[in-house]
Amino acid sequence: MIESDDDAALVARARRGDDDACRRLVERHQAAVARTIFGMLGSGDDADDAGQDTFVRFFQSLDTFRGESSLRTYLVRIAMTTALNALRSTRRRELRFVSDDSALEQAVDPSALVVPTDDARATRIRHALGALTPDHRAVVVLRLLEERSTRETAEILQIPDGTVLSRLSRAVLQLRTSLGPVWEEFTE
Amino acid sequence: MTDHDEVPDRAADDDIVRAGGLLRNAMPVASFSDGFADRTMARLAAARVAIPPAVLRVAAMQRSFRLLAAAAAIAIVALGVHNTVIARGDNTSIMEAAIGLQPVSAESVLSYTSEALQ
Repeated sequence: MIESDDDAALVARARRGDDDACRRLVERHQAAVARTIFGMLGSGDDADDAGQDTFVRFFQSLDTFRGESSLRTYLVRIAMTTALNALRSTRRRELRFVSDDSALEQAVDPSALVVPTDDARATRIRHALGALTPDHRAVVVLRLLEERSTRETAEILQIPDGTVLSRLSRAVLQLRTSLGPVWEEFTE
Repeated sequence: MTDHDEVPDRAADDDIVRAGGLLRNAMPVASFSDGFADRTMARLAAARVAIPPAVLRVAAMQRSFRLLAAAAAIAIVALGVHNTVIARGDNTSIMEAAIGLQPVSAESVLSYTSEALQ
């Protein structure tokens, strides 16, 4: 199912090599891709790079897009795969260069013991999200940040519904533990 | 929770709701910086002429169209088609197609290339 006639028409034109159609698809769907990428990688050059990669990969494999899911869902799936690959390669680099001492310093961060200001609170929450494993973070980003259903999340990550639920549960427990007072004081 | 409470192995529904609220509050909707579509189109055009990924990554991170143009020029030279293009006299249109931007003269190609190689 393609999301709208406009998307279908633009994809058809893009398949014929029409750059104007490609640009319009980027402009139309960049916000959805940004939400996924920023949730996974934070902001910055790596995120911009991954966003561009997402669209370039899509355009290079247009022939394999059959319209079985909406274009937006399809792009979010590519964005998520791109972000997960970026995280894995960053992790490999860190394992090569980060010493045991710096890992220990992160584990006993004294700021974890006090209730922070609003900015510091947001930073703490982003760090807590960043401390989740990439697989758990992916579920949290799709289910909680983007507010997708369990089924959609499972479809994008290509895992069973039950795995989405168990990863979400474990991730939320970890967030609750690592956020401490920030978690306890939060009211929406 | 006291020290004697057992740690649950499954998050409660209200914990999941709370986690969602915390995250959405801390991470307002973000968007790519201005010019994202331009950068993506330049990168797509460069990918079509097989720009070396490492050069392209630097160019994209620098947000530099000049560097992207240089990357395209390097790729054209690396692919061994540069002289052919110059000889045919249509390097401008090739470069235009390669970087998807303004026409670039042969002099600019050489100057961008040497700039990027420094």
